[in-house]
Amino acid sequence: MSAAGTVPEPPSRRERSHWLIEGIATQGRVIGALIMREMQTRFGRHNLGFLWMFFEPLFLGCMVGLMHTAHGRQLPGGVNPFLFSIVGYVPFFMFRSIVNRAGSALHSNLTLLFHRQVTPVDVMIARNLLEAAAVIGVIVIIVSGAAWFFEIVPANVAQILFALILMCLLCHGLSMMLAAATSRWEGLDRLIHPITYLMMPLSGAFYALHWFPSHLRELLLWNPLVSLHEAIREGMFGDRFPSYYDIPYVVWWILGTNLLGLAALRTARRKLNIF
Amino acid sequence: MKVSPSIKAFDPAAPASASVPGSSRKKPSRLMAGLRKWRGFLLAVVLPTALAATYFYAIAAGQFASEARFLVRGSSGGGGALGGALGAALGGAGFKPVQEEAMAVRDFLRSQDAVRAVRQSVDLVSIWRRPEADLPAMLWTDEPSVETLTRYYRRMVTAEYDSESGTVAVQARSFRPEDSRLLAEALLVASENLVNQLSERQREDTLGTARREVEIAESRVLAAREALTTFRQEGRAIDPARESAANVASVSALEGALTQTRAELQEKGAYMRADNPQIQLLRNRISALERQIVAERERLTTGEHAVPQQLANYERLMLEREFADRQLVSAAASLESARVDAARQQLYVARITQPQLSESPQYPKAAFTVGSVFVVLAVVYGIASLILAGFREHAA
Repeated sequence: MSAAGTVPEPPSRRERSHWLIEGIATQGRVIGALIMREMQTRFGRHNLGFLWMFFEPLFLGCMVGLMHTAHGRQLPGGVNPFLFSIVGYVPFFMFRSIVNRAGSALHSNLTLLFHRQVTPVDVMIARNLLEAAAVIGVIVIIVSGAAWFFEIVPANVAQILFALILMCLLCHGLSMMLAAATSRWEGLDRLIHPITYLMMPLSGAFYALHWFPSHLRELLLWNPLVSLHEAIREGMFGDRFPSYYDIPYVVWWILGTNLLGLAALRTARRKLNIF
Repeated sequence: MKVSPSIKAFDPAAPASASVPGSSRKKPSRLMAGLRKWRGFLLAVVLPTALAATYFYAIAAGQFASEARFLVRGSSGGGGALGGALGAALGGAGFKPVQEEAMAVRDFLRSQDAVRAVRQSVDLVSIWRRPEADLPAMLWTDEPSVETLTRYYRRMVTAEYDSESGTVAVQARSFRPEDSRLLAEALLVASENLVNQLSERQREDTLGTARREVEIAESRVLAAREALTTFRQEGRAIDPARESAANVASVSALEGALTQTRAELQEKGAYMRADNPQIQLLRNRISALERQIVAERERLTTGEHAVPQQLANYERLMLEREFADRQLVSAAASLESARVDAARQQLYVARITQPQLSESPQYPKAAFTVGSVFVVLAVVYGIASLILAGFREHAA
């Protein structure tokens, strides 16, 4: 910020409104531009282009769902195993892709960060919005497909959406922390992948807590992802089987990670600007 | 931010606070600058925390809690739930299929039904509108609807099921210790009533079928005896089996007599003339016996009261009576065992701790609440200020 003070005033092209509105508008434009850029660098302009964004989680989710269906185990409450695993896997896919990409986010946008108005937070928001939009879109496709073709109507759509948004926020906070940390310690990026991979059995994506004895349940609930997956499942299947989650605990996680992430990115930017 | 505050603002403040003898280390202008710099934090975090602290430490009336614990006992499991030490802290209620009755009681205690039940014996509204109650904590309306009252009730009354010990803990809060105890006692009585009702219902269910079985068997026995009596009256026979034996015996006696008479006739015919009156007598007797035998045979084997027919009917009735008797015996036995079962399944509330008069107010938890208000606001302020700083950065 001290740097901002020394920069000479840009020529005023138009009437300037309050700095807050100005700032929000500029940040919105920056994020919008970053999203466009991100889509083009990642998916290109030809063929299906950004539709790939939806296909990737959809395809993976369907494959995982089919595998579980072919496995043919019976789920309690007469829940459709395909839907069960897809509703668990797709949100986890979002977590994994957001967190996995966090390490390289700043590095791949390093050139852009030399522009004064592009901040690391903008980069993270743009990337994470893209991922979140893809996953929420896929969930909408799957849920409406299930309702349309198989007449499996979700019990509480608002709850699914709410839990998904909470998950986005949590992943956003985590990704900001990780991005800042990787810019400081390069080697951390190598650790993120195995850790997210190991998180898979711990995140409650493929099982309901109801299947476990209560002491294991309590241990697993320390992981906020488990609560979110349970909440999504309850929104999908209602009370076919009991769900266990603790939203206030998740909100604490979101607040904590976002605060730390925002603060860490600010300090990280100073380091980035030096070289 | 560092460049924004103007220098002018500090100048008038400098001599004013310099005259204050108390401020030793910091220069007054530094103090004002500090205040100005941190005014967002002061307004958004420190002020609400201070307000909360004022309310909780100076204004809020103490709330007295009274807690009671009880077990719901019955044969359907002694509450041997595993683990769950972290318990209700995280996942809310630890659901366990054992001890459904205890869970049912807990759900009842959280429900509107409990409010209605308790309201019959305790004046809830006046308890929660005592003059010493402070405004934010008291019940706001004089004549609340049941829904409003239930919402408030859920704030002041908690019921928890501990899956590890299998106990239900009910805690009632109010502004006077005796009120709290009264309320907790009323809640206990209401749960006892509920459990008794459940138990009675279960008993009825178990015994009802067995009782009906016994009734059916009884009526069958009665009908069988009735039928036997009618048969005896109509057929004028007490015991057709024995009677027919007697009849057969009499026929064979007649046949014996006939044979003897014939032999006598043979013997007398050897030395008597044919017109001898004794011979005539014998002949008459023979023909009488023959007629008698034919008549007897006729009577035994043909017609309405023929012996085989009679015997078949009689035996059927006897068999029916025997079956009915056996059914009655087994139905009575199963009723007996159902009664034993019902006695074993009897549910009851076993009180572990009685509601007590508390001596000092336990609520509101001032330090914890103020502390958490501060932490939450500080974190939110941190995030908000970072986001705002982002906006400012973009605007620059």
